[in-house]
Amino acid sequence: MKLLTDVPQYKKVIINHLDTGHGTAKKLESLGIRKNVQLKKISPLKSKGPVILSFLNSNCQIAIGHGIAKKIFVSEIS
Amino acid sequence: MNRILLFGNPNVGKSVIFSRLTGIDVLMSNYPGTTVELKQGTIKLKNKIYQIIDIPGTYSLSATNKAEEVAINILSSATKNDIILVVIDSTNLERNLFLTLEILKKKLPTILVLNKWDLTQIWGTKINIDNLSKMLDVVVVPVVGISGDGIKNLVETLTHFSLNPKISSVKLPEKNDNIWKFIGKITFSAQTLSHKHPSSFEKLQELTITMPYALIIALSILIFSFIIIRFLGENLTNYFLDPIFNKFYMPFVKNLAETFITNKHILKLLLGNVPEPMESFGILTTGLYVPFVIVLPYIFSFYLILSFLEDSGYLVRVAVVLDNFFHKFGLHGYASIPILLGLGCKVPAVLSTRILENEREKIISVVLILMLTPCLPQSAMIFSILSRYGFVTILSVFFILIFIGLVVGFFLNKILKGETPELFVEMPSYQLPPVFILLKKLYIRMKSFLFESVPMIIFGIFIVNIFDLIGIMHFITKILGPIMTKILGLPDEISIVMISGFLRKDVSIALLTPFDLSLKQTIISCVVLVIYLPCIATFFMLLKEFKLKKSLIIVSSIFLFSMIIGAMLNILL
Repeated sequence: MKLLTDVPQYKKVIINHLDTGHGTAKKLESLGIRKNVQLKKISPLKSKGPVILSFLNSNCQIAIGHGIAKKIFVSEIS
Repeated sequence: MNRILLFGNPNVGKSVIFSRLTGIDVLMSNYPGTTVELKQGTIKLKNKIYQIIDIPGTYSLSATNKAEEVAINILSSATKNDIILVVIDSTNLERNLFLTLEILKKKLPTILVLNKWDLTQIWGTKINIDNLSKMLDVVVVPVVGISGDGIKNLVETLTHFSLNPKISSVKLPEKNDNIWKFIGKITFSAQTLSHKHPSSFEKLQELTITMPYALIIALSILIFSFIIIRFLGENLTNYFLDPIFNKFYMPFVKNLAETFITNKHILKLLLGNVPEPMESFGILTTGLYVPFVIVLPYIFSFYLILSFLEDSGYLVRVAVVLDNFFHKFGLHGYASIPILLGLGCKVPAVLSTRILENEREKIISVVLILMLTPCLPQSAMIFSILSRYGFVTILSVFFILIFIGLVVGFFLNKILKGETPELFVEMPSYQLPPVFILLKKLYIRMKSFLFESVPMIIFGIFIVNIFDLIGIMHFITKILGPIMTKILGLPDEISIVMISGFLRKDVSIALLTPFDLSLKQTIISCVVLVIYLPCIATFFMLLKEFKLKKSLIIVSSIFLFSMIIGAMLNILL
């Protein structure tokens, strides 16, 4: 398990845990970011800006602030 | 009157469908949060008139900003006599179903509209409409809002539905975890996705959000846009509209007025003092020359470029790229959208701050909207009167303004208590902007300038003439004049310019022409006239968004600050 911000570019991940407050978790959920969702990270590892994610089961891309991405725990999948 | 309410996630195309159903022109763009307030129209179904309401998009029924609050309030006011149209982006079924289920829980007559149906083929998504309809127990209609395909079918379905409204009897899970399981079940049965390898175009798209390429691309687009806007604006004025105005319109209107009107005061009011259209200050001369010859070409060229950027999907990428930079001012990158809109007109820019989460963020962005740059009509006038000093002078005025704005934003972030919210934004896919939407938006924006601003410009010039005639101008100059001279180093008469600028910002710059100011004085007056007060239309929008006390605090602080800046420039330059 690692932080979303520590995942290299173009790696696929599954979300294990959201360490955010209730309000943020709800907002992330309404955008489709929740436990067990599979995503691909589009932004590069070293980027200090927003983390850009692409959903594996739809054609949607989402950008979330670096501060929030640091609170999302994921596992890499192949 | 019974209502048809258009709900859905942001950027699914509700406004396009609203416009197709009602024939009303509304602004539609390819970024989440284009619609921030309710838009209303009507439709006749079987001799019965329904009110259709286009509602700001929301991801769920718990509001995170003012625009979403509007949507949630209207849903709670809905009754069984209304029809709910839930608009879904067909390429993103799973996420859109979350809000759909929340709305179905309200047990209201509902139809599901699958928009962007044509894109499902491109993206390799197949949706089985029958399965979706059975599982949710709702009527499902596929449409392509942009081309209008399926709209006729939607109207027929609505007509039939209005006679036999149906409330979904689907049993929805109570617990959140189970909701996602239920959504999973629906998508498993109603949707198949084919695997797609990323194309080279998609790789290219990623460059627009990957540093340092993203910054190079953004800067190139900015410079390129600026060159096109200036080129189109200036040439339309110099080689097309100015010759028409001077060669045909001026002699015609002069002859006409002089033939029918003998009273010299009225003649002066209509035609002004001198033959030059810019300096005469007559209602039929300067009053029409400023909006039609100088400002309109820039409105055309600016909104052509802005609409293109909005609809291509690039604006959201700019917001993402600028996120880090905007954090220095206590904002997240999405605040760049209201600020960009402010380059055109401050009124919609202030309104669009509704997409921002908290009051602190709204205040900082409004201050930046008001201080960073002039509005487009004022910019056009600054280009026009400063062009004789050369391009560097024009740039220096803009540079001073941006520098001051950024410093103020930086300090506001330090002074105002609170945290900077994080960015959450869905990135629309890139697309070639649909020509029909591009032209429609250009038409809406030019029409709104002509119908809302031109009367104000003429009124502004009328007031200046009346003040001059009855001697108020002299009185104001006497009272405020010494402040202008001592603090700003400007002639006494500039005080009247300051007052007219509250009516129209472009008129205030036009009023500078007869004064024969030095370069230093012109720069100081341009900078001060941009910042000192918002125009009256923007002031009313501030009142609407912030109430009286906060608006007055914002406006008076900016005014005081503009005087300090003016004084400093007077000493430094």
